Amino acid sequence: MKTVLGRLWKTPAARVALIVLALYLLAAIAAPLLAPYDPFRMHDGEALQRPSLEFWMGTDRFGRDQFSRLLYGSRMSFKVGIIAVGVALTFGTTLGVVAGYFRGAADAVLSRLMDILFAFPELLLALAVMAVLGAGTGNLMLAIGIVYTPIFARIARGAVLEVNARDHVEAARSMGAGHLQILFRHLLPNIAPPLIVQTTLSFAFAVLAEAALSFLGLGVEPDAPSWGIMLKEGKDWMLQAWWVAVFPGLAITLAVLNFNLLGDALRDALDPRLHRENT
Amino acid sequence: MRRYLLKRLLHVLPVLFGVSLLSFALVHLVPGDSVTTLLGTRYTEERAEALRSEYGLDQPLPVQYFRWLGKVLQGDLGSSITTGQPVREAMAERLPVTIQLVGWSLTLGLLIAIPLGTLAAVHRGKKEDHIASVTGLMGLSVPNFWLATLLILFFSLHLGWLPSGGYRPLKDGLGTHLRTLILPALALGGAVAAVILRMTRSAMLEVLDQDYMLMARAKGVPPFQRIVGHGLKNAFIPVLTVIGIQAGYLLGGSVVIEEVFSLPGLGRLTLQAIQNRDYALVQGCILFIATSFALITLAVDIAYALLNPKLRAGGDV
Repeated sequence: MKTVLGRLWKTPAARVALIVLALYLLAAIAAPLLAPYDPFRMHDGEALQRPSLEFWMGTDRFGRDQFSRLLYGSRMSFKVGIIAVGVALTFGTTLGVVAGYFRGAADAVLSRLMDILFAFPELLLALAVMAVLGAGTGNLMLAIGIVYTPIFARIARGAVLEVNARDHVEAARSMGAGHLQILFRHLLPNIAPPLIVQTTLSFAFAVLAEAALSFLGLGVEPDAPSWGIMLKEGKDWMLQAWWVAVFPGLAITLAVLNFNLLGDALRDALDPRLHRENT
Repeated sequence: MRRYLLKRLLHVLPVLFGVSLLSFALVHLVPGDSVTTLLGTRYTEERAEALRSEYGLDQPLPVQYFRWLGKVLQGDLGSSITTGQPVREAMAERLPVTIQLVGWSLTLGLLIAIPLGTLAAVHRGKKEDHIASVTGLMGLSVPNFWLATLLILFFSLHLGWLPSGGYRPLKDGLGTHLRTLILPALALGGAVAAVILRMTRSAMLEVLDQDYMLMARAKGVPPFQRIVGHGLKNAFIPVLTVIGIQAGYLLGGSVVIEEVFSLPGLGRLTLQAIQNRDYALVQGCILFIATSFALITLAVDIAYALLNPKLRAGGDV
C-alpha cells in the first residue's frame, strides 16, 4: 500500500488531482466557515451582479452569492457521491463476490440480472429510477447507486474468478480454510485494486449524474445549492449574466476531471505490470 | 463461428425479456396515479374507475404485464394517457430526430477521435500525444449539458452564427438541417470523441509494436499507407467495441441534449412523459431505447466476431 501511494505521489497528474480534490473536500466540510454569505440569502437590489470584490463569482437572479452556493454545492456533490458510490460498492461487490465464489445458480441468476441492467443506458436508468422514486437527494443517491451496482458486481465477479484459481487460495482451501476465511483473508484483499480504481471513476460519474439529473429537474430539491440546479437556473439568464452559467459548470468539470485523473493514475500505480512497462 | 453467433443470439433473448419486465415494472412502481393526475379537478371516483378499466389498470399486475407484452410483440404500445396519441406514432415522429442527432454526434466524434488518436500514438510521448491526452481527459470531464450551454452562449448568443434551439428536418436542405444539429452533435459527441480517442491511441500503440508494422517499414511502405492501411485497419477492431458501448451513452445523453436545444426527439419525449407521469409513453420509450441498445451491442459483438480473424477461422471467444 505504501509503495502504491508512493508511486501515486510520484505522478505529477495524480499529485495535482489529490491536491485539487482535497481542496474540494475542504470546501465541502468547511463550507459554513468559508462561505462569505448564507447560500440562501437574497441580497436586495443585487440580482445578477458581476463578479466583484464583494461577490467573487457574482450573484444569481435572486441576488444570492454564487461563490457561497458553489461551496455548498461541493457539499452536495460529495454527499451524493460518497453515499451513491458506497451503495454501489457495497451491493455490487457483495453480489459479484457471491456470484464469482459460489458459482452455480446464484451466479447464473445474478449475471442475467446484471446483463438486464446493463441493457439500459446509465443516465436513462437513473432517470427511470428517479421517475419511480421521485425527486429528492436521498432518492438520487439511491438511483445513482443502483445504476453503478452492476458495474461493481461485474468487476468483483471477474476478479474473484481469477484470484480463486490461484495457487495460494487452493493451498488455503486444501488446508481446511472455511469460506469466510478464504473470502476475507485471500479474496477481498486481492480483488481490491480494480474496485479502488472503479470507486474513484464512479465518483466522477456520480458528480456528473447528480448535476445532470438536477439540471433536468429530476435530481435534488429545487432550492438546494447544487451545481446542477445552479446551471439549470443559470442557463436561462446567461445572455444577461455569463457568470451564472460558467462557474457552476467549471466546478463540475474540475471535480470530474480530477477524479478521472486520479482514477487513471491509480490504475497505473496498482497494476505492477503496467508500471514496469511504463518505466 | 456459427456456434458463437447462435450463443450470442440466444443470450440476448432473456435480456430482452428482462428489459421488458423491468420497463413494465418501473412505471408501475411510480408513486402517484396517472389517472388522478390526468383527471385533475375533474376527478370523481366513477370517472377514475371508468378510465382505469378502459386502460386495464384495474387488473392484477401479472395480467397487465402479459397483456401489455402480447400487444407490444404485435407492435401496439398503447396510447399516451395525456394526448391520446398512439405511443408508436408519437415515438415514430420523434425517432428520426434522435437518430440524426446520435448519427451526427458519432460522425463528429469519429472525425475528431480517429486522426487525433492515431497522431498521438505515432508521436508517443511528444507534444501531439500530450495535446491528445489533455483533449481526451477534458472531453470525458466536461458535462455535456454544460458544453451545450457554453456552445449556445458563444455561437448563438454571442456570435449569432447558429440557432440556440429548434430543429429543421433533412428535407429542408442539408445546410439548414445541419445548422440546427451541429451544436447539439458537438455537445453530445465531445465525450464520445474522448473515449474513442483514448481507445484509438492505445489500440494503435499496440499495433505499431507488431512485427508486421516493422516488416512494412522494412519493405519501404510509405508512412501514411503504413499507418492507415496496416495500422489503423488492425487497430479498428477494439475501437469498434468502444463505439458500441458509446451507443448507450449517446442514447442516454440525447435526453439531456434534446432538452437543452429543444429538439423534438425521443429523449425529450421520454423526459416529458416522465414529468407527466404518462405510463404508456414512459414504458414505450424506455423499452424502445433499452431494446435498441441491447440490439446495437449484439450487432457490434457480431461485427467484432466477423472482423476478428481468430474467430473467423473457427476459434472460440
